[in-house]
Amino acid sequence: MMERISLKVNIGGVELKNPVMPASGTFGVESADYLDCRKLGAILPKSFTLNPQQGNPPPRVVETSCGMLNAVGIQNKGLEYFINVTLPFFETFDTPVIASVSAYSEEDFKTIIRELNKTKTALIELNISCPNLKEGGKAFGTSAEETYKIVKAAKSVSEIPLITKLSPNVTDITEIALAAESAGSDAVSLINTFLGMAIDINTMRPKLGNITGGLSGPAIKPLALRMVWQVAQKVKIPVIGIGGIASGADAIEFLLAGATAVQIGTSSFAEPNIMERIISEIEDYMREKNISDIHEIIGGLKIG
Amino acid sequence: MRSGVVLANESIGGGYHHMIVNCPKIAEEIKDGQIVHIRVKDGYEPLLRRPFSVYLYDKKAGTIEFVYAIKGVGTEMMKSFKPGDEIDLLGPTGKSYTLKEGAKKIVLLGRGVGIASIISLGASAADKGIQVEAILSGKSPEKVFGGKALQSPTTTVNEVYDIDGTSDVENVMKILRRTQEEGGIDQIFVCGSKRLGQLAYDFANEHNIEGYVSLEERMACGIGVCHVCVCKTTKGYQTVCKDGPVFPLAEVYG
Ligand SMILES: Cc1cc2nc3c(=O)[nH]c(=O)nc-3n(C[C@H](O)[C@H](O)[C@H](O)COP(=O)(O)OP(=O)(O)OC[C@H]3O[C@@H](n4cnc5c(N)ncnc54)[C@H](O)[C@@H]3O)c2cc1C
Ligand SMILES: Cc1cc2nc3c(=O)[nH]c(=O)nc-3n(C[C@H](O)[C@H](O)[C@H](O)COP(=O)(O)O)c2cc1C
Ligand code: FES
Repeated sequence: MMERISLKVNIGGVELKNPVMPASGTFGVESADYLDCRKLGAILPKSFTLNPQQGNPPPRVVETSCGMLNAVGIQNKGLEYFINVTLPFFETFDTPVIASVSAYSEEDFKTIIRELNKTKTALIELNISCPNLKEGGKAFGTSAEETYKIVKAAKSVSEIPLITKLSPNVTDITEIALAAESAGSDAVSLINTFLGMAIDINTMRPKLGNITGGLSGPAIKPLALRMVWQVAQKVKIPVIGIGGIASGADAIEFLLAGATAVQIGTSSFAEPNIMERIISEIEDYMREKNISDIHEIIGGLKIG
Repeated sequence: MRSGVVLANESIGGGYHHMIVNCPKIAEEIKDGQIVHIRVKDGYEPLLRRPFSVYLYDKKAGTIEFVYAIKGVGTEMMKSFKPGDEIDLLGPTGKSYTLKEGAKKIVLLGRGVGIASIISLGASAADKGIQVEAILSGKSPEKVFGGKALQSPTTTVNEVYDIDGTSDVENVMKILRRTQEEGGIDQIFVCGSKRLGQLAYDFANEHNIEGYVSLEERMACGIGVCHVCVCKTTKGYQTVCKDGPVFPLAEVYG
C-alpha cells in the first residue's frame, strides 16, 4: 500500500488542499449547488470592480470550434456586494477564497485592496488582463511598465498575498510576468482570454455586441500551455495555469510545464462539477505513477 | 446534472421534433416555463449545452417533453437521439410562470417554437379550472403545435398563420379584445416573438392586466454565473437563465 498522496500546494504562503480552483467569471454562488466547494483547492468568484457595472450589450457569447468568445465586460455588483454577500457565503466552506479584483486606475485598486485587508480574503488576484473593458482593453497587463506600476501600487497597500493575472495578448508574456514578479507579486496566473471576433455573414455584422471578445476553452489550451511553460522557466514565484483545461490529464500537462496550480473556466459550463472530476483524475494518475507528492509533477517536464 | 433516458424522439413536421425523456428528478422539480440544458454530445464540439423549454411534464410518470426546431449543429445531433439513449441534462433552471391566486382567465400567446414554453402552463391552468384562451401563431399550420395538448373544456385554442394573414397584429388584437369583453383576463403569458410581446404589453397595459414574457438569449453556463445570457430590462441587464427566462412584461417593454 502506498502512503497517502498529497496534493497540497502553497501559493503566496496560503496552503491549498489541492491545486484545482475555478477561473474567474465562470464560477459563483450558484455553482455551490452543483459541486462541493469543500473539495476545491480555492474558491475564486467573478472579478468585481469598485462600483457596480452593467457590462457590455448582448449578444455576449459566440460558440466557436472547441471554444467560445465572450464579451461580458465584467458585469458585477461591486466591492460592497462582494464583501457583504459573496465573501460571507463562500467563507462557510473551509476553502481559501481568492478575490479577483478589476479596476480602472491605481487608486481604485488601492481602495479595493484596503477594504479587502479588513476581510478574511486569502489571496487577491489582480485582473489586469480583461480584454472586454473599454479602458481595460488597453489593459494594464499588456505593458510591462504598466504592470509593474499597478502591481507595485497594489503591493504597497496589500496585507494579502497577490496573484497577478496575465493577458496572452502581448508579444512576450515572460516580460510581463517578470515585471509583476519584480513589483512584488506573490504569484502569477495565466492566461486570460485571447482577443478574438466572429462575423455573421448573413447580416454582415459582428456576432458580439462588443464587436470583439475573449476566446476561451479547449481551443486555447496549447497556446496557454506554451505560455505557462515559458513563464515558469523565467520566474521564481508560483505560476497558476489557465486555459482550456477539461480533464485531469490537461491539468497534469500544466503542472508538468511548471504550474503550481490550475484554474478551470469554460469547461465548467458544460459540466458544472468538472473540478471534482479533475481532482480525482489527478489522484488516479498519481496512484498509477506511484507519486506521493504533487510537487514531483510540478515542473517535471522532461526534455532531451 | 441529471441523466435522462430518451423514450421517444420523432419529427412532428414543420421542422420540429418532439422528444420525451424519462427523468424523474427533473419531472419532480420542474415548474411551468422553466428550462433544461441538454448536453448534446460529450467532448468539445459543440462545447456548450443547449437550452430548451420543457414543453410538457408528467410528475407521476417521471417524464419531461421537449419540442425543438432544427437550427444548427446541436439540434441536428439531437435528431439522432434514439429511444433508450441516455442523455445529460442540467436543470431545471430559471424563473417559472406563476398563476395568480384566484385567477379565472388567462391568455397564452406563443409563436413558432416559442409555443413550447407556454403549453404546460396552459395544461396546469386548465387542471385548476382556469379558463385558457390560447393564441398559437406561426408562418403556416405546420409551424404551429401544442393545440392538442391544450384540449380541455375550459380552453379555447386559436391558431393564427402568416400565410392567411390571421397572425396580423390587428387580428390577434381582435381576439384579445373579444376575450377581455367576454370576462376579464387576469394574466397574459407570451413567448416566441418580440412583436407579440410588444402587443401583449400594450394590451396588458391598457387593461391593467398582469403579464409575463419568456425570453431567449444565447447561453453558456445556464446557472447564472457567467452573465453572457443577459437581456436589457428596466432593472438593467438580467440573466435569462436565472433571473428569467420569464420576466414581467413591464420589465422588458416598459
Ligand atoms: C430560454 C430558452 C428556451 C428555449 N426553448 C426552446 C425550445 O423549447 N425549443 C427549441 O427548439 N428551441 C428553444 N430554444 C432555442 C435553442 O436553444 C436553440 O435553437 C439551440 O440552442 C440551437 O442549437 P444548435 O446547435 O442547433 O444551433 P447553433 O448551431 O448553435 O445555431 C444555429 C442558429 O440558431 C441561432 N440560435 C441558436 N441559439 C439561439 C437562441 N438561444 N436564440 C436565438 N437564436 C439562436 C444561431 O444564431 C444560429 O443562427 C430556447 C432558447 C432559450 C434561451
Ligand atoms: C464568460 C467568461 C467570463 C470571464 N470573466 C472573467 C473575469 O471576470 N475576470 C477574469 O480575470 N477572467 C475572466 N474570464 C477568463 C477566465 O477566467 C480564464 O482566464 C479564461 O477563460 C481561460 O480559461 P478557460 O479556457 O478554462 O476558460 C472569463 C471567461 C469567460 C469564459
Ligand atoms: S448562461 Fe451563464 S448566466 Fe446565463
